[in-house]
Amino acid sequence: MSNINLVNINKNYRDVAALKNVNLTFERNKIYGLLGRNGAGKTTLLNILSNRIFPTSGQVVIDDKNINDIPKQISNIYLSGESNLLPESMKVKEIFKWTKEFIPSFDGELALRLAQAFELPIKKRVQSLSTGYLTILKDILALCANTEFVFFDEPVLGLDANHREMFYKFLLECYVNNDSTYVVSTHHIDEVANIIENIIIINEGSIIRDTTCESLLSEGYTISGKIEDVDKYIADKNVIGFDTLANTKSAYILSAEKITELPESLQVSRINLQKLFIELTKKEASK
Amino acid sequence: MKISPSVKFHISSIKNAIVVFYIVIVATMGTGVYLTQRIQGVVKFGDISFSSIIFLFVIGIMFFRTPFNMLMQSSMTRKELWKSFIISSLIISAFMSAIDTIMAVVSSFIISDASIVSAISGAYTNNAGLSIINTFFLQLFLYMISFSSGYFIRLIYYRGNNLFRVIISVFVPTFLLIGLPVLETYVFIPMNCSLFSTVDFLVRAISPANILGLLFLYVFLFSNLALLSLFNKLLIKRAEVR
Amino acid sequence: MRLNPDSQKPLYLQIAEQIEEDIFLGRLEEETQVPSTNEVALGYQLNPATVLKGMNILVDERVIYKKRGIGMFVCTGALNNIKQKRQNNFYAEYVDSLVAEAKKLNIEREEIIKMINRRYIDE
Repeated sequence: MSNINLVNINKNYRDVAALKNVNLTFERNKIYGLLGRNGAGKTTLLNILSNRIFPTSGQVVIDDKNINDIPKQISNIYLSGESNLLPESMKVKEIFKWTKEFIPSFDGELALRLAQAFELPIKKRVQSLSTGYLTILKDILALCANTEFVFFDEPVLGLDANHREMFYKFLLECYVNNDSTYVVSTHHIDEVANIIENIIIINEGSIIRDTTCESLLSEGYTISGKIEDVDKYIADKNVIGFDTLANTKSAYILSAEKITELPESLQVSRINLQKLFIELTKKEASK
Repeated sequence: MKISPSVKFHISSIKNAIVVFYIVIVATMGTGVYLTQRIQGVVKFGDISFSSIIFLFVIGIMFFRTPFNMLMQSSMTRKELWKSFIISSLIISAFMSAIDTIMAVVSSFIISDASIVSAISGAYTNNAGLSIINTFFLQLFLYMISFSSGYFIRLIYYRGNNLFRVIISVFVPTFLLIGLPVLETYVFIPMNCSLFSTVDFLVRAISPANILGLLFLYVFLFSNLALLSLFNKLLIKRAEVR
Repeated sequence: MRLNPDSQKPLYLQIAEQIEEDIFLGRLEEETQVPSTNEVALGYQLNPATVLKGMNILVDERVIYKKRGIGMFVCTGALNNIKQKRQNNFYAEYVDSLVAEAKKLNIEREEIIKMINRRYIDE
């Protein structure tokens, strides 16, 4: 299976446009971050990609064919979705067993090992799992699915810092060990910035960035120093936010240009991605 | 033949319900037999196959959501869902029809009380063996039709919007419980053609007295089932996960 | 290897510099294997593509080379090359900032030279 392409996808819920003319390509063997605020359309997009819902117009294309014409290709895609589709009364280990039946590439042993690492009780029923552990169960299923495309919708929802770190670690491990494509939807851009290669930002149903992490980072920088010095420097710059601490100030500047002359009293560092993300998604909203 | 995981999942999702159903049936029958022996008089059973028909209708209603969700979660296609529904409803219906036929035969030794299905199938032949086989297949079709009807109603509910659901849940029972009798009393009887006696007449007319009648009955049942399955396929084809 | 995610310097450059540093300090000897892209990626929680990009810079600079099917190895003469490069950069990297800082602190030229001499005598 090759790339998945979304061609002119629109999705309306009654009068509300959830996705507006979305065109995207997901290439093999990459990690994508799908960033967007709540309600931006991430879940709708992922559900369409995995054939759970249908676009109002446009198509999902794989190998030049509409996915509806090649339903078998669905088995190459696994989505750990937002809503729980697993039978509530089933035990975790039974879920593993059935998933293995349905998806031959599912790694049952790895699933058990991950369950142990996350301390997910495999004898518990799905309905008695807390929000965090339900997320962990869904994450484990997706990490072990070994399908060519694996999509995660909010994989760290309800997870504590420790478990988040573990999730990203295992994600990277799985990525290194097979050639699947992983797409992670989240609004914690800083957490995923180092492990994702490509970044897609969606806002109010439209794709506003589809680029590499690196080039997003080059969209701006942070300047810090004494308040007066910083203020003087940023007077004619496009500032998207700042933090002040005692006498020092950090200003986040949006600028594709290279920094030419920097006064010695100022330091430059990497743009704060979270601030950049908030700014990008805010700006588009006010238009 | 290897049974697909989807079929296995379908069956396992209602395995327990079937077991409970038969425990209740056997317990009821046991009590009945016990009572006939202890007290004077005759205890009549309701029809087992009729209970099964109602049971499968209800099961059909509950048969959609869990397998649909699990199959969607496991990257299965909607076509696979439809196919595995048909196969598993066939397996379950055949299984239950076999048990019901055996129970009917066994209970006929204890108390003679023919069921509707065996009355229809018995009308065509006096050969006991043929009659039993006939009962089995007639039941099988009726069970599958009932099963698919329950499933069909669930699918209509699932696909329809809220207004549509309210309309169906209010108007269908109202029509059956109030509308029909009212129509019967105030429209059909004054017109001198009772609706109920017309239906009764039709059922009797279908009841086969010869091989042609029987064939006609099977063709009729089969086309019913085929039509229901076609509707179900169309409803599943564009069903979205919610 | 230490990486600073807040630095303006892209992570892949930092990776290249760190491996270079390891070779310079003798932690990685010539003709020994460099940790694989995946090892580095997993160790530092980075996308392997980022690490690969860093390694490719060193490949271009002939500091390390690829053995097909085995991995990356340190080139013979890599240490000399690195030393040569650093010598060339010494003025820009250290003298410039030394003098700039000294100016801010009003430290005279002679003072600096004295300090440097003292440092040598101490050794």
